[in-house]
Amino acid sequence: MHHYQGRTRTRVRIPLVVALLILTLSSAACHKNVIVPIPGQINTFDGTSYRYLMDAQAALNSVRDDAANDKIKLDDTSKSLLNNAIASYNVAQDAWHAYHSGATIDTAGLQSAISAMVRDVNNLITRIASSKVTGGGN
Amino acid sequence: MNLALLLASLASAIIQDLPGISSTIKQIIADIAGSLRAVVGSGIVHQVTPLNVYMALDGVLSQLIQDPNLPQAKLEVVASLLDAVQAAIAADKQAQEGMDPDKIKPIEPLP
Repeated sequence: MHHYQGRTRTRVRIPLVVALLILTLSSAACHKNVIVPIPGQINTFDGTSYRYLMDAQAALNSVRDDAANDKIKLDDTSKSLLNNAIASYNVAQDAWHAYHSGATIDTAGLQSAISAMVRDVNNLITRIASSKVTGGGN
Repeated sequence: MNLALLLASLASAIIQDLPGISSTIKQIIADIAGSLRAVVGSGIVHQVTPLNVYMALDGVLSQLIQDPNLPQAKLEVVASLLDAVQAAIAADKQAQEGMDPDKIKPIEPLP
């Protein structure tokens, strides 16, 4: 009886997780036009670029630390992809600092640098999720 | 670049390369990826924000890491990905509170 109830709860819980995620995404869709400015931004593009850089920096540092501490084992290709992503991030953060400080108004250059960074982070994450990367204990 | 592709490519990679995971988890990942594609393709939105994608990834990886069929080697990789996604979520929330240019720093390459 209890075993059956436990299985029932499990069957209910998993679709519930999916439903909540769909609701989260749908909710985000409804509020798409509401862009909350970040205090200190010079314009929306500046603020969006700052968020991308903060996110990428945190994710890259996390992966880099895990690799440096042997929590995950990167093969040569994966390590190269990590360093490519780091290099792209470094270019983008230089471009953002120049833009944010007013040293340049080159939005196209910053946009291009951010796009390259996102592409390289995407390539890295896809590689890590593949079978080419294993845990450090293996 | 549409960030929804990040989720789609990651979900595809996980499904393709982890044949040992349960059909339930595979279905969850497929449902979430499909839902995201539907939201993006509905015309309601032009762009899904990075935070929404990270939150969806967090949900996928949090479910995946609980799968008892996940090999230990992959468990550590998924845990590392989950750490990275959660770090990005925390950073994104912090970024929205206010700009601090000093927080945007260069990263040393892995030797």
